Amino acid sequence: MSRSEFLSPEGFRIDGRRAGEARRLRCRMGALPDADGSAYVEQGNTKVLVSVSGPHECVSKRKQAHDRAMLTCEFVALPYATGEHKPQAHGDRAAAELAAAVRHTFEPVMQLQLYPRSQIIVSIMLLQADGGVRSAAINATTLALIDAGIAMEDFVCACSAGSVQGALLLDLTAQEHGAGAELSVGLLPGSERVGYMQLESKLPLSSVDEVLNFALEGARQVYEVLQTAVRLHADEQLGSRGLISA
Amino acid sequence: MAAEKIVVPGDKLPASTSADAGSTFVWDGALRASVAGIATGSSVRASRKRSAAASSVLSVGDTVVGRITRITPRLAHVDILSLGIDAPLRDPCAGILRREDVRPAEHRTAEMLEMHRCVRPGDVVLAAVLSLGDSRAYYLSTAANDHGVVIAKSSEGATMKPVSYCEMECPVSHVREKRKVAKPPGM
Repeated sequence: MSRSEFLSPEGFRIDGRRAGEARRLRCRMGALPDADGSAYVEQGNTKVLVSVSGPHECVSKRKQAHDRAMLTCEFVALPYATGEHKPQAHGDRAAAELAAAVRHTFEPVMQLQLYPRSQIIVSIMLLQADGGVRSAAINATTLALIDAGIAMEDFVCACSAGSVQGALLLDLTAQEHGAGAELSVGLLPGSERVGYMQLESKLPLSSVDEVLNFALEGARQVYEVLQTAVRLHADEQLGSRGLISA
Repeated sequence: MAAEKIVVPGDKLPASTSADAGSTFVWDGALRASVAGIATGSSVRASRKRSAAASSVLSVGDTVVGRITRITPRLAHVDILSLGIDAPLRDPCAGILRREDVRPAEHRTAEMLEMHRCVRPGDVVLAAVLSLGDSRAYYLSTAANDHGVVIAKSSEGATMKPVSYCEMECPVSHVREKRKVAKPPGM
C-alpha cells in the first residue's frame, strides 16, 4: 500500500489537513452553569463535555482520605457517539480504563492536599467520537477543573500523533487511527513534563521519538488555545464581578 | 490597572507577591499561581467565586445547625443543614447526637438524659461538631449553654418559646414541653 491513501502526493490528508496540522480546537468553559466547573471541547468532530463537582463531602465516607481530596473520574460515551447506535454497555472496560487514565493523569497535577476529607468528581461525557477521544477528554478536564477554581500546578494539554502507513500525522481522526499506530501524550507545559502517554498499537522503536516529538509539538499548540480560553474566561468572570477594569 | 494581570495555573508571579498569599505554590524556585485569576501585586484573586460553604467539609469544633430526624433512647439522628448560621451546606450531611453529649456533665441525671426530654424529631438545634465520627455521621454535642434546641414546634403546631434551660412553652395551648434549650443570644 502506498502512502497515498492517507497522505496525498501534494501532502494533504483525507480531511484536507496537512500532516502536521491539528484539527480545529474549540472550547467553552462554564458550559453547564449549575456545575461547580465545566467545559465543552470540540476537536474536529470529537465532542466532549466535562463537568466537575466538588470539592465537597465524600459521597462514600469509607474512601475519604484525612489529608487530601479523593478524585473520582467517570466516563460515559453516549449511545450515538460513534456513529452507529450502540446501547450503553454496562461495566464498559474501555470506559473504566479511560476514566482511570484521566484520574492518574490529574492526581499529581492537582493540589489535592488543600481539600482534606473531601471529594472531587470529574464526569466526562463523550458526545461524538472521531479519534483523539483521550486527548479531548484530558483537555476538557483541564478546563473544567480550572473553571471549578480547583488549585492545579499546571495545565495538562493532550494531543495525539501517529504513524499511518509510513506517514507521520498529527491529531488522528478515527479513520486514520484505525489504519496506524497512535501515540497520545499529555504535556504539562509549565514544567515541560509529560504527565500522560499512551500507545495502543505497535510502533517501530526507531520512530517512537519522532512521533513523540510530533505529538508534543501538537500539545504545545493545544496549550496556546487552552490558555487563551482560560484567560478570556477569567477576564469575563472578573469583569462581571467588577474586579477588573475593562 | 496596569499592575494587575490575568494569570492561569502554572504562571510565574511577580517577585512582589508574598509567598504566603493564597492560591500559589512554589516550583522550580518560582512562585506560581494555582488558579486562574488576577495577580494584584501581593496576592492572587481567583476569578471563580465560590460560596464559602460549597466547598467546605466540617471540622471539629465547628458550630452547625441541624434538624433532628429520628430519636432513639440512646441517640438522635441529625441532618446537618448549615455550617454556622449563615453558610448553608449544599447537601445536608448526617450527624449523630448521643445521649451523653446532649447536656453538660452536671446535668446528666437519669431523668435529664431521657432523649425525648431533650430533643424531638423536627427540632432545629444548634450544635458543635464533637468529632468526625464514623464513616456515616459526624458526632455532635449540644452540651454548651448556647447550644441546643432553637426552633421547636409544639403538638399544636405552633413554634414554642423558651422559658428556661429545659422547657419551652407553646403560645397557643401554653403547654410546656421539655427540651435541651439553647440559651438565646443576649440573655
